[in-house]
Amino acid sequence: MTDTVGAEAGSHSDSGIPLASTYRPSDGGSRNYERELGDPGSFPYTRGQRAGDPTAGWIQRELSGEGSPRRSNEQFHRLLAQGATGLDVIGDTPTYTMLDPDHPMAKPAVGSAGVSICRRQDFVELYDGIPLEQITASQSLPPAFAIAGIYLCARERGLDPRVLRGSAINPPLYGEDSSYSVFMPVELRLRMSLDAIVFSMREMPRFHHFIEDTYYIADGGLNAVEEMALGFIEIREITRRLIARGHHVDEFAPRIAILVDCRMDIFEEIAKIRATRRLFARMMRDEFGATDPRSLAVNVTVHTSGMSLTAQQPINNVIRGAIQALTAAMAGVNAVEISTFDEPFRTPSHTAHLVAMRTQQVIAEETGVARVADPIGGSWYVEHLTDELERRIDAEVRRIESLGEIADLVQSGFFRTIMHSGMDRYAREVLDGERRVVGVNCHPAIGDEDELLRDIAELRFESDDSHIERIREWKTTRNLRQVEHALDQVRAAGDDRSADLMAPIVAALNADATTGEIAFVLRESYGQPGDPFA
Amino acid sequence: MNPHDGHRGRIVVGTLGLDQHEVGAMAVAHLMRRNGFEVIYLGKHNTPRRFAATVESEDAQVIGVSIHSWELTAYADELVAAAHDLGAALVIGGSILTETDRAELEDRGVDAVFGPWAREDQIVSTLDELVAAARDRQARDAAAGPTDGGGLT
Repeated sequence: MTDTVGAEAGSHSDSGIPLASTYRPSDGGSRNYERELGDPGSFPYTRGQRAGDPTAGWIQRELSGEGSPRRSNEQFHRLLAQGATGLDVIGDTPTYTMLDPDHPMAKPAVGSAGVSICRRQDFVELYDGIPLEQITASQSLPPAFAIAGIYLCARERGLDPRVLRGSAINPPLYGEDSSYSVFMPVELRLRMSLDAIVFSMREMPRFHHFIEDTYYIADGGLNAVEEMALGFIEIREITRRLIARGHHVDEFAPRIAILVDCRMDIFEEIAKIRATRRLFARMMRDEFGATDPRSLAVNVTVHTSGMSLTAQQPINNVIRGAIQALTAAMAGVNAVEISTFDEPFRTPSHTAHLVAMRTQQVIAEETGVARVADPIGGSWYVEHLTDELERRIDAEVRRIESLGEIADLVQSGFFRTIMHSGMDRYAREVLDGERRVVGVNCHPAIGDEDELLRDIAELRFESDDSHIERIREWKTTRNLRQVEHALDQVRAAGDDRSADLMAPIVAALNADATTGEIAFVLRESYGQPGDPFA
Repeated sequence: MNPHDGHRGRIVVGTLGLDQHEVGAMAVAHLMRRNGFEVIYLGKHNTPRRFAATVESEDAQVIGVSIHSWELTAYADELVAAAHDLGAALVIGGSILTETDRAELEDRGVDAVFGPWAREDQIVSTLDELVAAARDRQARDAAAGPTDGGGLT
């Protein structure tokens, strides 16, 4: 192989946009400043959501959740002590699948890739000592349960839910085809999402009830255009359905946010975030009739790419995380989570959390990146990419929406095919060497170079099996008559397709029914096996 | 052997348990196919029983499990038994696997373990050996006729 570093990179961006070797004023697009860019805090918000203090920076948080809620709560407090300014919690696979930890398929996975949550008390323990009216918790948990759980948690500690902040990812369309399978039909998933949003609008008006999480959609191998096209399709579908229910767009749009991926093509990622803000603002104003500026200026946050990290030479992942976080900061996002250097092996270790927090802090405190809003704005190259990404994302949205009803496309496997093609394409590009990845298909480790940080990355934590036993014992102590009555109410609401699901779900959790039991009756209500693995 | 004749061996590939990371399974399926193996791709949420049933119905020689979850520890013994009862080989791969894991899994009877250090030519030559040995075992078992100790159904 001739080592012509950069020769190939000049040909196209990671999403396939052809690139010139240099850009000039005539390429920069966005020639009408007021129409295409505007000042930060002004329509169409390309340059950012905030006109105010650009030095406010971003919320610095790190993915956490490991073992039982109590163990995860200790992680929260440790991160906050290290300077985290927000929380980001993910459920383990049984939690996300809505299987209780004592389910036979769940047991081997409890707590190993996130926190185990199945009941009201788990939320109480998870957030013990966390000021939920001040610290925002981004929750990658099933949204209806995340919203019900934090609501009940606030009530239990005497906190008015109206002051609750934080967010819940809400992935009704794509979860089944990517990494959040819940074994429910799309209409039930949509109904739970919509009911949860409406509940949150009414009861928790400061809470971001609808995080469009394009990270998990994309980080299997989709490119930036595919990522945002699918994200916008989901936002548009939810928006249309809420409007069809009689809600004005300005009632709910201010609490939509977008959590995007940030990979290694740094200028494309900055342009993607800028194009996303502009597309969102125009869509909400021109298509859905929003007038409240808060409905137009979308909050964008970043989770740096786990896919771009490698098991080879784990120390290189520290560098990748720093580059991606700096990229997100240059794009002026509202919050950042770095995928930690041990991500190829496990959920974050204490050391990896510390390195990621310090990475964010070095960027925030020492580089001056946030002193000026949209510092890359006006780059002929980035403005060209921003225009091109906006055009391509919009065209892909229109193309897909012309193919039929979105829910039908979901059921037909249309999106699954896009995701699987993306995964396969990424894997092939790495295997073939077309996509250069240091330590994998170029610049392999020599001697013991591969050992740097490896001992920490490979360190396994003790499983939290006692939590399974604790849940099993707790189940026997419940008032079963009360639990069964509450589950009957959930089933009745499920059977009545026009009923609200959130009130009976909140009541059932409050009556000590588990998320697995609630999901069981809802699946049955839609003609599916209550236990997907029975 | 012509690597593109479609008869280099049949391999059942998928992920295990609730592990939803599918990229590695797709990558290794692609690698196998381009080297002339036939891949029966099962996707996500498989159990040892499902892998075994597919080996039996598809006359496969190898079970290839791609993992990105520590759930493997709970399933390894059952997987080994399921594969070996059918004369098939069990191969496990994934970026989370360490050299320590490899030694432990091989001790437990897994026929080959590939972590992130594995090279394509190593994987292919190992699969060739495992397919050949599995074909011999399966041919012997077929010649001996059905037994009541047969595979899982």
